[in-house]
Amino acid sequence: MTERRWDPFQREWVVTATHRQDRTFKPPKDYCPFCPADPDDEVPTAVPREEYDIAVVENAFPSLQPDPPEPAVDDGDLFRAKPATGACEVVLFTDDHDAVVSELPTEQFQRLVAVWQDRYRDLGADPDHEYVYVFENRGEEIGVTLEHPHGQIYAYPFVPPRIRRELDASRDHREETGECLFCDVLAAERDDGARIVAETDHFTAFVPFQARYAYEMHVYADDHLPSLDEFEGRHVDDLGRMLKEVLLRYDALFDFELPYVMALHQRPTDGSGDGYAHFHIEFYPPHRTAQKLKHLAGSERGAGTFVNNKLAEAAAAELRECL
Amino acid sequence: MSVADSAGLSGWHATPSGMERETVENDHGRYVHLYTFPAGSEAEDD
Repeated sequence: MTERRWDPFQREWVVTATHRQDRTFKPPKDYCPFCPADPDDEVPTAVPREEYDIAVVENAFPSLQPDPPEPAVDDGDLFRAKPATGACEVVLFTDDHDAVVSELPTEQFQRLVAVWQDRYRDLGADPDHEYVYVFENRGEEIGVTLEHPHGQIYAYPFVPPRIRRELDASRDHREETGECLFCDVLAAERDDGARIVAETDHFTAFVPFQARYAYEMHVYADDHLPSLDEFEGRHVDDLGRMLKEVLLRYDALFDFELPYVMALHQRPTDGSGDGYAHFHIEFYPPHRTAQKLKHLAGSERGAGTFVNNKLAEAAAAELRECL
Repeated sequence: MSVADSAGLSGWHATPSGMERETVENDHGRYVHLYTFPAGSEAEDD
């Protein structure tokens, strides 16, 4: 059962996906649904090949579906309920189950960016998909239940609220100043320099001034590129380099594979965003020290106000110096 | 210097980057996009 229900207070959709209660949870050590096919497997894996470079599989427990069922309740004026139309895919970064992602060759990161670009274009061409959201949940602390290196893509039938808010802010900024808010923030970060972590030919990584998580990091395209669709080959290759560098720094920070949520923000595929959407990636690691996690508690969950335990400038210095 | 420095479509699809996508159906009845890449087209690893 999937559906989406409107929250009239927060003015955002909530997706209900009851079948996800039954999704694969920490399968036996000798079985991984994302590994290449083995003729001896009793249960076939999701990839019908004995090896692969990068594979994208339709999510077996999708929150959003191309042909979703009707909602369990009637659609009303106050209690609005709609089918959870969309698509959910799993991106398998490598066929090597035990790979440490930060140690994959730069070439594999560049291939991954090219795959993301293809999925953005392909899924975004469907008029039912208003936003193609590429993301990765990494680590048990984030709730990952399958160890095989993978990320996900959700094609939503709406622009998700956090992304809608930042796009609205950038649109308003453009109306007021004629400039892209992301371009202006990046220029200000580069001028200041205190929160810059890494720079490549076309991308800049920094801990944002308003970081919510201790080691939050954002990667902005230096040029005003609204989405992966505008990337040329040099951008694809250079973002691959930057991604590897960001992951190497995260893993070096505490000398273990740092858990995080990685979120790609870019132009919606509903026709909006011209002039004010700007491709960037946001990383939210839950660790505030090697041993301590940042839990989203009363202030964050109940009031929506984050309390960060670390100065962004101090975090950036550590991330600069950890390699 | 940097330290480290649709569904339902079967068959092959060439993309602008030279990457190719083959879409097949797996044993669970779900689509799978298998991506292959031209050799030597990306930057050398450090």
